[in-house]
Amino acid sequence: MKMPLFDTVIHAPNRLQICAFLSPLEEAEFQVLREELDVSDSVLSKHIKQLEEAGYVKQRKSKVNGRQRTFAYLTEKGRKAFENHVEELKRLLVSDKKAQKLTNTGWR
Amino acid sequence: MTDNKDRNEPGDVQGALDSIQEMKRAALWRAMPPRWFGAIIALLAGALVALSVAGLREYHVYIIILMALVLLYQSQKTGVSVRQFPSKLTGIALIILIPLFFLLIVVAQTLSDRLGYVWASLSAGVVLAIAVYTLSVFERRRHLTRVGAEKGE
Repeated sequence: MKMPLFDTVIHAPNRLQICAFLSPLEEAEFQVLREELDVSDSVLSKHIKQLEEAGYVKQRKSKVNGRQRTFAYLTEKGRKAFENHVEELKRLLVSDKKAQKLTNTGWR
Repeated sequence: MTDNKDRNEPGDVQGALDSIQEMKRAALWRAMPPRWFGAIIALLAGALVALSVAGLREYHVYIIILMALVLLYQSQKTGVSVRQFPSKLTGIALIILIPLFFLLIVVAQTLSDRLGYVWASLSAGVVLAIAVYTLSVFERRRHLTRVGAEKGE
């Protein structure tokens, strides 16, 4: 079994939120992501680009009613990396709590 | 939150996990269709049966176009599409709905001599509309449970 891995590309707050938002979805519109994250177009574009460069996110453009709409979705690689990252965060939290407990009981 | 693993504090990790849950919940909440959506689809499905029983099949195309428009409007409005397969129960219900559609037409046409075409077609439409609406309510509840599960995780 592959061990969970901490991913520095995903862990940045905005990118973590993007991945978390996309994880239960097939895809989400760029505008929706911007509203949910409460960031500007340029900030969101920058983070999406970074995730795209890592191969975690892809974008799809579609023209609806003459309006260009951009959708983003997690790739399989991105989905796996995000799941591993979440597992690693949970593992870190558990080990932190254990360490805290040992400190409180005078073992360290 | 920092980009460096070695500098993560327990509160930082907890914050990141909380943020993940919050965003997952927001995504699922956005993807949830409103109540009117199930009701309109149910009404249109009912109308489709009623028109079939009444022998007005030439109007089917309008109902199908309306259904497509409602589905399109809903998907455009939310801006997201959820990644989940219909539950096992919904799958079974869909398999039952298609035969039910034809069964209702046959039964209503048989009963139309006794009830008259208007009542027979309306009754068949109402039965199918109730079945579709019940299915939509079930799916909505299942979705709400999923949103709640993300919240409580």
